[in-house]
Amino acid sequence: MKNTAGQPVRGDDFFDREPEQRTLWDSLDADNILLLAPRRVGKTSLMRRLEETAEQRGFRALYLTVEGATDEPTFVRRLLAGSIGLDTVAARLNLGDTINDLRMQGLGPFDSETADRFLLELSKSYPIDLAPQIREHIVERIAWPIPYYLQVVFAELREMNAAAPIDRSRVDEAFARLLDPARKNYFDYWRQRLHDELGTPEDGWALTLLNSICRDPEGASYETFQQALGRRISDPDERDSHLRYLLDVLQNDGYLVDDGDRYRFRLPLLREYWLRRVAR
Amino acid sequence: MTEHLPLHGAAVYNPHLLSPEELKKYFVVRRELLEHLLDELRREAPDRPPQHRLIVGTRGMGKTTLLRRLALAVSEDPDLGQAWLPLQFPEEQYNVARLSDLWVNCLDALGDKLEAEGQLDQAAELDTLVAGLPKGDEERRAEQGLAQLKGLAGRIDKRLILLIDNIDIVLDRLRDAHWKIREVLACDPRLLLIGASSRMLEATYEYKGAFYDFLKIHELKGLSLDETRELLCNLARIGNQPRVVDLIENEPGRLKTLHNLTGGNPRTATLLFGVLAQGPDGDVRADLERLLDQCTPLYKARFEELPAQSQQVVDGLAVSWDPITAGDLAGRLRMDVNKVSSQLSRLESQGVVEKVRIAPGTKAGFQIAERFFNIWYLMRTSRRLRKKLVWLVQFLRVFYSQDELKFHAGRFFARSARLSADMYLRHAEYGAVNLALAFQLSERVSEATELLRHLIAEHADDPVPHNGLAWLLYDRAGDLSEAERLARHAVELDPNSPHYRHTLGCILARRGNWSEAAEQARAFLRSDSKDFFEQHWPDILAFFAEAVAQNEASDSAELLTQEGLSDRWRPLYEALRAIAEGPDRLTRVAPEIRRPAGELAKELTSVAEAIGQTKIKG
Repeated sequence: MKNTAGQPVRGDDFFDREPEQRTLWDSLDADNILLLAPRRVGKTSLMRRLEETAEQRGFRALYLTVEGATDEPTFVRRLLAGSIGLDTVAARLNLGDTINDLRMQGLGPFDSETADRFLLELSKSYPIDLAPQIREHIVERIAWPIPYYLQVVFAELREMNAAAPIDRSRVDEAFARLLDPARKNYFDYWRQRLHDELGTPEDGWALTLLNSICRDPEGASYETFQQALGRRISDPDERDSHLRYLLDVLQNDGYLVDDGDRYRFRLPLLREYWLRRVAR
Repeated sequence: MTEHLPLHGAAVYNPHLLSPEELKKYFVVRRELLEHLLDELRREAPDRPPQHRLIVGTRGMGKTTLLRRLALAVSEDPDLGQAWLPLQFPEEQYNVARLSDLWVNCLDALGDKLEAEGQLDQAAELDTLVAGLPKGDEERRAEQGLAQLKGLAGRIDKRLILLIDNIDIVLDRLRDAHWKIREVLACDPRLLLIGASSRMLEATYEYKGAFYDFLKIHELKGLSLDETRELLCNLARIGNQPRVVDLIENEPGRLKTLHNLTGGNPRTATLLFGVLAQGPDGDVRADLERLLDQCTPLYKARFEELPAQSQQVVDGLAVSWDPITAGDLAGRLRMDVNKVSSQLSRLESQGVVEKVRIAPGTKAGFQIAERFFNIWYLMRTSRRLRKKLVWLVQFLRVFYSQDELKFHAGRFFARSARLSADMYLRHAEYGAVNLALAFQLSERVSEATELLRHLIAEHADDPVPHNGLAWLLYDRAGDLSEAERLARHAVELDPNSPHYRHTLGCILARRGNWSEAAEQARAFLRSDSKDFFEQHWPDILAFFAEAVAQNEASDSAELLTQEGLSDRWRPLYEALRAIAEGPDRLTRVAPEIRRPAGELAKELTSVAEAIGQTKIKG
């Protein structure tokens, strides 16, 4: 398996997602599907995997991206992919009906067992010796093990290129290096997207929320958000509805998780990045 | 019999002028929060530091009154009064410059309280103590002031509630002492802070702020329509003004319109009461004018405080009414866009202006934060702008007077039939027509149909039964081609009646003949009979709901523009555009218009859906 991050993977580089593939094929027998996941979770790779294996399933597959598509061929079934917030945004744009006839299918991170096998596979390919407790440590520190960040960490470990065996402190060092300015493009898109997706002034509001979340190691409470936005949106009901929308989008897009009474970054690495490069 | 209070009437700006009895009587709308605060107070463990609180609300939301009412409630409650002593402060503590000043003010407040309770010796003793505090060394003065406050609390065996109004100003002045104050509050079970502020405090929401996650926040929102009604009725009861109660009950549109424009601010509602009490026979426009007149000194002073260039920008925003981008505003003002932007951000940080999302596009819009100020401003500018406001007021009065306009399919049909009753009544000589209507209303459709057919046979040249049967067939998903034939005949017989054209327009729209339906709509929209709009507003809406059902929302909005009604009926126009283009369209519209437009869009859509289902069944 190749150590790669960013490009969608094909063929042997595609790893697992077996249960997801089975579910999708079963669903495609009856429905059109909208595959929803935050960016970088691996939607495109999964779709290409389905494309490659379609014939075995009695389908003919055609892969299209939105930018390239001028006219839409008549499909028997459609499998679409989009960022999770799509349904929230679609509701706002009155496009609810357009996506209502699609069956929603989420795509999450690997479970820790799959993430472990993923790292094992990678380490065998290169080969770099990653002991089980080291793999466990990596998965724990990523906390949201999607293939992209597993690959990114692995690339870092490779680059550190030491003859010495990889121990926990080497892993921690790799995580620290990921936050170097030189590697900021691993995370920059999280910041840039805010503007593209939300526009002004909501991107500014989202920034305010994310900044207060990153400063507090325990994450921040809804009450804190209300106050932080209170200066910008005076009407409490208006503020509340914007706040709920933003939290919805930020959760769906993979920035945040709701921890019961507080919100925190889903990726601890992203929190670190945010603290150093964005909130300061 | 209501017992009338002697003197003040409702205190609009200075709740401290009210006697305890008056305060209790006037305080009606924040009762739930008061009960909650009292309940929380009862749950405080005696030996542990209590939960400190902050009440946030914009001007006129009732912070000062709430603090006063809370103090009274604590004192009068046997258990709470035993354990707690509420201390009240002047609304503005201008004398606070250092931490010691705050503690000295607390001591003074305690002295006032002792004196009010007749404990003159203790009060005098306290004055001596304060006079004896070290003067030169601030640190020692603060330490000793606090120590004495705690000591006195111990001696009278009560915990102290510090009810500090405008605490934002106090804390701004004591920036260096935040952590010390926090430490005292966090450790000492004898002191409870309940502050009030007109804005959120950085110190409570910034992670590095001393009061981050420390204070429980209670935000005072604008009053709902029901709460406003309750407040006004209460004032009317106290002031013995039964006519105000009558008009609140009998003219729901008048109150609802004013509520929409004032945003549920209790102080404005109290002013409104004065207006209504003085002129219950007036109309909503006169009410609004007098209400704005009452706000004039305040708004004028606030506007004049601004530097000249800020005034220009605020003027531009207020006149635009709808949210506007910095670029467009600069264009209107013929000013440099960078200058406008920097003015806007200064005004935003002062809370005068708010940034809002306007879709589509990625540029932010700006609007005046205090909406009633915007209304005030519109009323005082050019005749053209005032007209726009007056149109909105007129529209809202009619729109909101239709009680419970949220008509679902069944009620919608009944309502339409009931409203066409007016025209039947004009033809009272045809008792039979009324009978047909009665049948229809009591769901005896086949009898109604039979009777109308009989009348048509007898009076081939009478438009009334033709129109009646046409509407019945349309309404009850009957034979639409017959309905169309009958309606056309009614229009031929009396081309000047907007009612018959309305019936025909609805039928044609449902039959998918939009272009001809639109022609009929033009005819009835042009009808200059004022009462057609006033009395038959639901019928007008019914036509537009039909248009929405036929996916002609966009065209029907265009129709309003062509007929010169898009400004006059702006909420309807915006509702249709929002249905056509998506709810985001409403972000481009001033909140006063957006709210009714949103309600209308919802109603039109739900009626249109019902029509769609009827069609499928039919």
